[in-house]
Amino acid sequence: MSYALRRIINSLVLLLITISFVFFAGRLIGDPALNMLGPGATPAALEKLRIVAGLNDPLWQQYLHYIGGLMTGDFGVSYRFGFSVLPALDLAELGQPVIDIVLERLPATFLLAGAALAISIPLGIFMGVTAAAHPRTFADRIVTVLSLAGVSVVQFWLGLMLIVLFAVQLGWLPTGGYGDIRHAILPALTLAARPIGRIAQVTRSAMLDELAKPYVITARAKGVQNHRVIYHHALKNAAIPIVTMIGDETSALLTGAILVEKIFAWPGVGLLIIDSLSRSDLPLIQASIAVVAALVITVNLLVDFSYRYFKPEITLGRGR
Amino acid sequence: MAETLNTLPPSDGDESRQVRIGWIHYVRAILRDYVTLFALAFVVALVAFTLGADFLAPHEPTGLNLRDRLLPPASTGRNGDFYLLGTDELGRDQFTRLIYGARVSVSVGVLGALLSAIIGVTAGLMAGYHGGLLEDIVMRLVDGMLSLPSLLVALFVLFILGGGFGNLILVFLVLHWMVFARMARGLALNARGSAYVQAAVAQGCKSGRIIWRHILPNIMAPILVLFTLEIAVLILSEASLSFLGFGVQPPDASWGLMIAGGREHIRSAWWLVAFPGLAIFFTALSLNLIANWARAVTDPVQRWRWLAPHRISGISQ
Repeated sequence: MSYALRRIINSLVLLLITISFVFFAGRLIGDPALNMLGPGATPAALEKLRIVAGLNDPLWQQYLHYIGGLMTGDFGVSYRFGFSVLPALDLAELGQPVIDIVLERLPATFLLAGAALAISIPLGIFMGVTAAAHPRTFADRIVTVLSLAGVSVVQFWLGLMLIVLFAVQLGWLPTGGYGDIRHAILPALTLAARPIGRIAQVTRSAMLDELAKPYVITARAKGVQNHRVIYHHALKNAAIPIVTMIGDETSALLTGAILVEKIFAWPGVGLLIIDSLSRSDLPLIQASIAVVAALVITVNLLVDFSYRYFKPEITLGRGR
Repeated sequence: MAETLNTLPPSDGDESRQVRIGWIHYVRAILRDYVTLFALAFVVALVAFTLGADFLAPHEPTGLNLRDRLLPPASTGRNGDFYLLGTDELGRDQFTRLIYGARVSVSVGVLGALLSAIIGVTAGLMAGYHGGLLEDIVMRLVDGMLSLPSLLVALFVLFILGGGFGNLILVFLVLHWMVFARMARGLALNARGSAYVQAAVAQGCKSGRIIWRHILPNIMAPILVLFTLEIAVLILSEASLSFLGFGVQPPDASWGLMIAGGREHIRSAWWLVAFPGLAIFFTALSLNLIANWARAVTDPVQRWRWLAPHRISGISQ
């Protein structure tokens, strides 16, 4: 079996374990029927709902039914969104399909994470390369301090401080919400702070290692221009740790967005997760966690595969 | 070779003038490095305030004083009380609350990191030294759990179990032991082939003795560095989870919870959000700086630059 195939299967198994864990753990918080109808529901109404939603079946049967549904893209219906109380005769009439709700929120999160990456990748690499190309100078010190600050700051606190400064005091930008580009500036900057610091740190140390190697001296001796040596020769060889870090930070962005979306009332998946948790909307919690986990696991898989591109001699798996 | 790793290179090329590295070199190195010195001073002060909160806090943590509500930093109340960092919506002194909040935030970080380290290092050392099926299982688990979105899993588990100090530490243990396991396994793998372990094996040491008495002391330095970094990571995570309402629960106060409480007054009383965040920031920054420094002075190849009797120009982290 090829390495890639085995990694893909491993990832799918991990995803299945995660989804199953969320399914079973979710049952620990109490009776789903009571959750849906609220404490004022009559016993008759509860019983009717249990029959309609299949909650009287044994748990393993419900689980198989749930997993079977996932295969066809059916993640269940929300307890809260568009939920019609009885008399519903079958499950589809109970509420809005949760997967639709999650997918509707996904573009906003992608936009935010994409904007943060678009800021942090070039800026972080530039800062790291500059520091490594001029070691022990003032620029190096500044980069070191800024990148440590970016890693040490609490993201949601930074967001609140930016709101105080730019939205409340200066009034230049909106405090939150979703709309034109002005709404995206503060959340994207907030989310970018940490990846800028991490990418700058790892770029600096990887480039310091590379720039000390003989091939760099050779290239310089041949008269290759300095920026070409740095950006074409050394940076490509320093790519593995940098790409790994970018991948790590991309998955961190997807979950870090939970807090940033909350602060800025940005209607993405993160805000949806918080809302669904506070409303105990179990199907919605299950679906949004499944989607985010799938995204994060996929990003981690892609990072693994990208090793091959940057360093073909690395033997992956059992060897070629 | 071992001798040269524990000595400093002679300053004038005279081999007889080699100096063994002692604690005095570390003290001198840290006194010379103002940034690390500041970080260390901050952490020492933080620990002192955390342990001695009852003696050092200027006010009562729950001392309501409704006439002195929402006073800005460095103001004096009606009774002549001085509030260094201002007061909150109930007239409680914010500096005092920060000190008591530090108790919770710091102990969650330290306890969480300590338990993760114990479990993770044990699993990693066993896996790395014994190899085989054990290693396969541990590393499969480590790789799998590391590729999960940890904040999201933490949120969900705390939603099921409920927040609070104990559950928070439990969640951190479950989600962070892998970091230590991965590192310890790599270090144990390296150590297994080294001469000192081979010598111990040849003398008939049992594997438990080799792991705990021979390998562990030799790999302590990188593990302590990671431990320091993990405390910072956990303090940041605690703040996030508590801010969202899934971590520490009132009446316990942590820094993250204080930011959440101050958020309602953000337009009129910025200091209620600013100072708890700064406390977290300086704590995490100090721990990062100390970890960087510790990594440098415990690196056998690099450390002479820091420990040399004379300042060597142009060292930086």
